[in-house]
Amino acid sequence: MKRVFWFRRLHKWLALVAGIQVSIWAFSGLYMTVVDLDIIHGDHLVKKQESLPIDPLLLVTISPVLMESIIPVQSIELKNYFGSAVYEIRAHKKNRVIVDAYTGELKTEVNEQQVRGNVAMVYAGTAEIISIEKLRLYPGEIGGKKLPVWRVVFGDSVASTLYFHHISGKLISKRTHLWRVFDKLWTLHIMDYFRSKGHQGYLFRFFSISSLLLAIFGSGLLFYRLRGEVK
Amino acid sequence: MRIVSQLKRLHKWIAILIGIQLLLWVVSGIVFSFIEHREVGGNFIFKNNKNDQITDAADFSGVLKQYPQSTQITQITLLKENFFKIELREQTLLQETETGRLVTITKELVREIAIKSYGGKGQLKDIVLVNQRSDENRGMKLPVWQVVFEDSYGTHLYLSSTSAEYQGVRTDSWRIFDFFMMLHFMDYGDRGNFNNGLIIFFSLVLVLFSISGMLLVTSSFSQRDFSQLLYRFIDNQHVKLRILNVEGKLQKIKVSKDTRLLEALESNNIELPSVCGGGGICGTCRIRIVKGRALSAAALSDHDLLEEQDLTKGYRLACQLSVHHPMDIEIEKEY
Repeated sequence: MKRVFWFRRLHKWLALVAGIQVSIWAFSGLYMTVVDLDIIHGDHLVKKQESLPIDPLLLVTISPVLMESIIPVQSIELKNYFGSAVYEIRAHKKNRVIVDAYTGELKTEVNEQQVRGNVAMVYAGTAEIISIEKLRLYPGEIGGKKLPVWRVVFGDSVASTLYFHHISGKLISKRTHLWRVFDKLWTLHIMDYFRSKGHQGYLFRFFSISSLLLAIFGSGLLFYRLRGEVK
Repeated sequence: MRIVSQLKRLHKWIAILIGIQLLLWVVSGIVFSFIEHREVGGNFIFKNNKNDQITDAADFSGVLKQYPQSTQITQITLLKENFFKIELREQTLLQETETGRLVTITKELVREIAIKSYGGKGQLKDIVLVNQRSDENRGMKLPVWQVVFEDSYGTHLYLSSTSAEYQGVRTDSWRIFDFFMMLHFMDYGDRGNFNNGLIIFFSLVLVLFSISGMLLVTSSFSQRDFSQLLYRFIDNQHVKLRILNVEGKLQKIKVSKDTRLLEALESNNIELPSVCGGGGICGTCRIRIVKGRALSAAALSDHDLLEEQDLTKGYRLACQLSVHHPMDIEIEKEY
């Protein structure tokens, strides 16, 4: 049989096999390119943080007793969270201990009042808070860590959400519907349908190689057609 | 119904416009799925110096007085010594906690850090203070220390020239990945940006391409294409055809039921001309049905490419016709 017949046939059948996935790639790709990544990340939701001054005279050095209770310490960061100075001590396994830098004592959990105060300092938008609550665990959209977290949801069209650390009260994460859609489309784009690395690899390879063949046979058809038109 | 041929024309022109980029998207996608992501990151080549732990917390008041404009000050250990890492807007500095002396990041210090953290199976080959911007040090503050290792990964380690902080690892896998990222994102400058105008335009066109393609899939498949597979491979049903050419020569052939006529003739060595390979685009494979039930049905492409009066005379495109019942067919020339 003539080569062009085979090209036509294979192009048609491969399109049947891979067409839907190619369309998914196209649509998800378009969304991801059109919506600016900074907006996806929600950078417009928060004010740029200026470093607030910490008074060196009030600083208290972490006591050896406290240090020994944390062992092994990887690093100690002096930070300023919304006007209060803290030491963030990184221990093993990504554990963090937060110490008040003015009293030298372990920070206790922030309350709703303080979270509201922090929102007022970081939030750059105009929408009202529609809910503010302390969750027992990180929700899936910010990684599902087994730690409590404060969630503040705003009443805008994209359900902007800010997450605050339960002890330090610092801003951990920002989410909007634009991000949520991006995340779903990304899952489709990399074909992570089963949420499993192994399956995703084979599935992706099968469809991407099918698409390559689809494109190659399509190019062949284009070649014959243009040649025919020239003749 | 000219819509199908319009769609086909659209599909062809888009293919000409974005075909090469489409191939690059697919090829780079395949590369991403086969590349070792662990080697792209390269972090596994280096050990975390977890055993260096801080036992005594330092007094931060002196360093804070000295750098009130710092955004963050961190006490760390490096080669068993305690340091403050001072993060300023423009750069990061390293200071000894005991003496308050700023540390100069010398080649010797870089060598010591690099050798201590390297966990690969190669040798340290060279240490260079790099001043030139390159693909590898994109996003890093210059000058930056580059440590070259001679190993199978082609490892380069980058350390800050002001704080000796880790800036990144570059391997051959990273270099391949980065190159295909550039092609995939169509960002030939900074690489990381997939919100550029060029890729937005091309992805928009790709959406049109996939829509036209999907519509063409639905229009080019008929139920017969599927039953033909059944008849050919499982049921093995045949239909008898009689072929007349204009010189009056008669040929009888047997073909699998529901095969497209163009292919059926082809497999019996009767080659009709076809530029498009059976796409219903070029109209060169026309035949005339003299007798048979298929006379009643004309496909969309038949209406597109043949005159109405020819249709009533029995002219059809061989590529659009599935052979279901016995037919007498006239072909125009001796092929």
